[in-house]
Amino acid sequence: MFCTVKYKVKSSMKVLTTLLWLALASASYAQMLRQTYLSDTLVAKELRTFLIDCYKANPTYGEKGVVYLIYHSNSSDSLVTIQLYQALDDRYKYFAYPPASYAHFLEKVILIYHGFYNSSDWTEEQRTFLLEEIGSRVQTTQSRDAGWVETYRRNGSLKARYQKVIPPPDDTPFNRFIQINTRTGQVTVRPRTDGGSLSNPFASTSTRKRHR
Amino acid sequence: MMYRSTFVKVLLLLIIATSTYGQKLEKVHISDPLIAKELKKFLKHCTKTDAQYGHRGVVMLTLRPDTDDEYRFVSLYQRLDDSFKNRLPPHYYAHFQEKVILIYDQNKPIYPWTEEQKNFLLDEIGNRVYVAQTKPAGWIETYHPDGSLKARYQKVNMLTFGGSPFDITLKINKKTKKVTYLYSV
Repeated sequence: MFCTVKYKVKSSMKVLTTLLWLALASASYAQMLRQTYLSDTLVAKELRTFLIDCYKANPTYGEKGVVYLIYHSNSSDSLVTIQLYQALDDRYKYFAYPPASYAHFLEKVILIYHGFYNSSDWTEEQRTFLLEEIGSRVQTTQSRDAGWVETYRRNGSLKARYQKVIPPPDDTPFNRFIQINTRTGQVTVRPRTDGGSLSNPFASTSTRKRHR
Repeated sequence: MMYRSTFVKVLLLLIIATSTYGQKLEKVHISDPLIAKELKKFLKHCTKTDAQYGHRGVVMLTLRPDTDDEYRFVSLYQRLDDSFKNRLPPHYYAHFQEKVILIYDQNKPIYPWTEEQKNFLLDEIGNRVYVAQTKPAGWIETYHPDGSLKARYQKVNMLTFGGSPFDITLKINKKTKKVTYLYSV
């Protein structure tokens, strides 16, 4: 009788320990970002072209920068719209949500979003992890206000002093939308030159046929 | 008695004014037409190479030691981050074409920064520059064709050799004023 009780206590301890381990494991899983491998050959090809174009436009992007791969929702099932964006600073840490997953691709870290929404908020572990993974590839975003500008007359006396407002960057070619028709295989690329709306990213387009 | 008190007050105000002046950096107007012309060219060249230098960046102008009879040397760098705060302070600063120019004169003695000087310059330059990165290089992963991990290693920051459009030295002939360009190596 005594032996049975001892066995029961031991057994329930084992169950409790296992449960605790499982709870701990799922908690750390929830805090970690999901790493994915970019297996879609078409997306990989477009990403490669995008990285080459960025580098050609500005060699700094060869060494530096972090890439955002954003899947936008479509009205049709056969259409996939992705946005590729590359930035030289760590602005992603100020976004409301963490990326859905991340990937390594051609010496770059790719942050993958499904729209700009995610079911969970950032955790400190996720932020720190991404900052370490990306490291010195990006600059730290500035928190200071706009700096000052002074203009002078010909005799060197002060004409005006005002705060400099930096306009939004001309993102081309570091921001582009790609629409993929999975039925016909057509790929449509539009560099975002006007800072235009996300609802109509394909106002003017250049089209090329998908090579299988 | 009243006269003495006013005298002490004036003296005190003068001392306060001098100490504030000592903590501030001296602002200058770039009046040398040759330097102004070269600076304008340099800024244009930087923006042409990388559009973000049009609105961002801080320029460092270094007057090299004047030891040569025939030439004088002036270096121009432009940076997108505030790493200047980790160097010695400039001797002067100037505003030029919507940019802040930090002027280092290597013919003059160097004094350490004061907190006031550093904060003043950081506010004057503002968000034209990023905060200098302190994190080490990030990580790289490579994969086999089946998607399994092949290697994971820390990225090595590449050093650029052979010059950069954001870093040049002017060699100015003192007599003829002819300028030749020595790119950084």
